Amino acid sequence: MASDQLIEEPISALAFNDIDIQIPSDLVFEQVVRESAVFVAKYLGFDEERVGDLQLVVSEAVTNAIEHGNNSDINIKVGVKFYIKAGRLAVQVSDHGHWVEAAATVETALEDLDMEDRLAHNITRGMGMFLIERLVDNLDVKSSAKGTEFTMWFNLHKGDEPDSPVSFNIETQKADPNLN
Amino acid sequence: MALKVEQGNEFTIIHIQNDSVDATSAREISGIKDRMNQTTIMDFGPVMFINSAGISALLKLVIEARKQGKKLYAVNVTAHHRKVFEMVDMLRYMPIAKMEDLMPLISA
Repeated sequence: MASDQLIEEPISALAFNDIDIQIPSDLVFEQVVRESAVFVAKYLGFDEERVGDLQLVVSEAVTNAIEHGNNSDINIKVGVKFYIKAGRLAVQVSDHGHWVEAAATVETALEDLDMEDRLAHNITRGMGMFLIERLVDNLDVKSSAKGTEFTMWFNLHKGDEPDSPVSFNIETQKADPNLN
Repeated sequence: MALKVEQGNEFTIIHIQNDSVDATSAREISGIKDRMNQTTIMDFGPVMFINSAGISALLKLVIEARKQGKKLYAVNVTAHHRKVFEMVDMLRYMPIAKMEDLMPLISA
């Protein structure tokens, strides 16, 4: 194998251990995660533009988890985990909501609606998902009776970004009606 | 105050003074729609972070400017925000310019 075919992990990526953060479901604490995202991105050597991308999508996902997943219940935590797998940075945001509508939200975000139409119909709630879908390299959504795991993937190597639109893996499982 | 407004006869320059444009500054941004002039410049100088609430407020403002027949320009925009503005069609209503290129418009 030619040496230029080898994909080497950045040293910082090799030394990277999982980072777990738990915050109460209050938007005040969203900034804690947002700033952690900036730290992680810079640590991994992301360029300035990509640092901004990561910061924005993490902020939007955590805001969704607080407001829609946990209904801003300060007694329920939002979990955020940063880890590296197969040359990609994963940011997993988990909440306790039965985010069955997650799939529909993602599908709506995928639609290329004219922005003026969105505003005319007051469809700004999906703006966060619209941005996430366009800025991440991959997205996994797992929603079950226990809650939702929303994982955003970023390729560590510049140039690895897919040519085609990002792929989504959405798994939903209906909430147990005996719960709640 | 998140915004500083500089007003001339034919122009308005809106200097955003916070490092983030979010739900809080969105309220202030929506409040300046009546202070726009024929040429209005939004200066994003210190802005490091804009979230979806901020983007929605900016979009509403720039579309309002177009309805009023006013020209809006953005200056001092980072590469990340340029990309995001492009994604949400913002540049259709508010092109990014260099301040020095706009000088003839505001000193006329």
